[in-house]
Amino acid sequence: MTLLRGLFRDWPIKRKLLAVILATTTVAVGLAAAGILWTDSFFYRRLLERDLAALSEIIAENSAAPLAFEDAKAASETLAALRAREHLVGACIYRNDSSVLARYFRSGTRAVCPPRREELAVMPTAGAITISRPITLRGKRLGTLSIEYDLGEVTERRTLYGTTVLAILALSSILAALASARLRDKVAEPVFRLVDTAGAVSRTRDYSIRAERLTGDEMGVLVDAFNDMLSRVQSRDEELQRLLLDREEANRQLLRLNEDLERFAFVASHDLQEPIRMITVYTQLLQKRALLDQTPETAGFVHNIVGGARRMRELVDDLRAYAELGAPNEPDVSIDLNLALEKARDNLALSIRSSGAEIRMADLPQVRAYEGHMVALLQNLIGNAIKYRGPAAPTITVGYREAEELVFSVEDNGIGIAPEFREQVFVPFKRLHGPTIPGSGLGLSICKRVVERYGGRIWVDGAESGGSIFRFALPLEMLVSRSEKKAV
Amino acid sequence: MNRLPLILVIEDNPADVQLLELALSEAGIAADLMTFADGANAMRWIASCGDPNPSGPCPDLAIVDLNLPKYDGLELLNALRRNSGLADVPALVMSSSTSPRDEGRVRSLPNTEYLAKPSDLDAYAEVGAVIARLLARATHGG
Repeated sequence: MTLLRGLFRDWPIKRKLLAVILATTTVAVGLAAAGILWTDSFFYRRLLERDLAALSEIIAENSAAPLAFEDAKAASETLAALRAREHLVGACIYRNDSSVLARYFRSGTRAVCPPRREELAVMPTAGAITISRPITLRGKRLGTLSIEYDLGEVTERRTLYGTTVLAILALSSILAALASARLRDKVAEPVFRLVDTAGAVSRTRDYSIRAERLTGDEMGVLVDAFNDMLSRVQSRDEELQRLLLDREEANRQLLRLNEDLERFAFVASHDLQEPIRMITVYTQLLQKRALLDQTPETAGFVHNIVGGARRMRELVDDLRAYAELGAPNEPDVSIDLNLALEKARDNLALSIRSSGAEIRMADLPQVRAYEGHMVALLQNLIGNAIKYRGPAAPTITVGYREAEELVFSVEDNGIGIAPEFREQVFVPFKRLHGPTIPGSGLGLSICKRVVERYGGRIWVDGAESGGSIFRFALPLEMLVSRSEKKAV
Repeated sequence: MNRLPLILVIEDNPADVQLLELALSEAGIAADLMTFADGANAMRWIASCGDPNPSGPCPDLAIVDLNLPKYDGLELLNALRRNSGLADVPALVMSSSTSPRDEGRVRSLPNTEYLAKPSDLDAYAEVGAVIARLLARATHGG
């Protein structure tokens, strides 16, 4: 039953309508047929009983004389007249002592006389009616007439009626199905149209499509609501598209601006190198050739010129390194970060020696990257740690651990960074210290740019010593293999 | 050796040429300098060096700036190497570029050294040393 209900639930609407119509027709015709059949059986049986009563009365009257004269032959002839009634099974004329004077049996039936009764009696038995009637002559009882009549006629009628009903049922079902086809279409069509429209919208994502309102019934209301919803979706979709285009345009502009800026920085930094070099070298040449008055004062002037030019060169170098990070990438290859760290340390050899810095290095892995980037990253972090050292000689620890990312750390015992400045230090040209500690303000920006170029992140925490721990995390995909070298 | 070694210098900045001359004299190198400010003239001059009997003198060493007008230093070096008479002449590329990319490109060429133009007077001593070494190779190595 549950299965049937489930089946019905998933049927298409047209089939459901047809099923309802057919069920209704069947029930209506069936009920009408059952009523007619029952009524007919009832009345026909009554009719039959009355007919039998009349028949038995005639036979009884006609057999009174033969019974009185014990004329069996005449009595038999009287009974033989019953042959015309094909449903009459048998009839017997009894004497008063219950012996049989005459009998008649339909051919092919068992020769048993139907029972007799003292009074007039109609006895319904299975499939037959038996009637027993006293035979009298001038008020004196002479014997009894018993007639058995089968009900085959009733069964025949019932079969006939049943067949007719089935035929009518079939015919009416077909007619109902045919006649309702248009009706079903009329009811189902708005549903189909709506389904088609909804399908088209979801397929083409064209929200300008509208469903046609065909009726004023609930389907009409549904179509209106659907169209209203579509209008809203459409306007929102258009809004979204417009915003998307705006954003793309803004992105393009930003990208162009960024490219221009990088090109400018690159060219400017490159072309600034030359004049700075000239200032430095020729000033030194003047000094060397003793073409300046060698007073302590002029020596100080020259020192300031050369110092200023050197700082300017460092700034330009950093600027160029920063600008170059925006240039197309070198192909990434497998590099040993231990070697990159050694290169960074070599580049910093002078300041490491002069500051007396100690650098402790962990065992670093092999990664897929451009070596120049990794050297610049490590060099800037270590150089930073030396530059912002405390009163004690700098101790710098490079650490590494593998988790969901490759996490590196550069810890120092320097002057540290107050928590409120820990995000700002990565902003280009953001410097926390005045001219006492020279710097371009680009070192950590370069680090950030390198790390982000590889999809990583960089941040700084405070160390227990009061110094800083710079950490950067690179994606695990960059890992080629752990270095074989043992930690130093 | 009857004549002084000849050095071809392609450098558009006269100040750099002057500094180069100073570096040579500081290092005690006696050499003739043939100086060009751009590649086109230099190429015309060396064109005959591929002939069996060159019409003019041919350089023992080429010192080339990387950033030059008309032809850049790398194009010039390639032209130099295509010239059969100069294919084995040592070359020194000097550039103010400290870009590892440029340096890598130069170092991949045969018989070619790379030096960044010094930003400090003291560093010119190294320039002199490198030139002396290259000249020794050119005149003795054949």
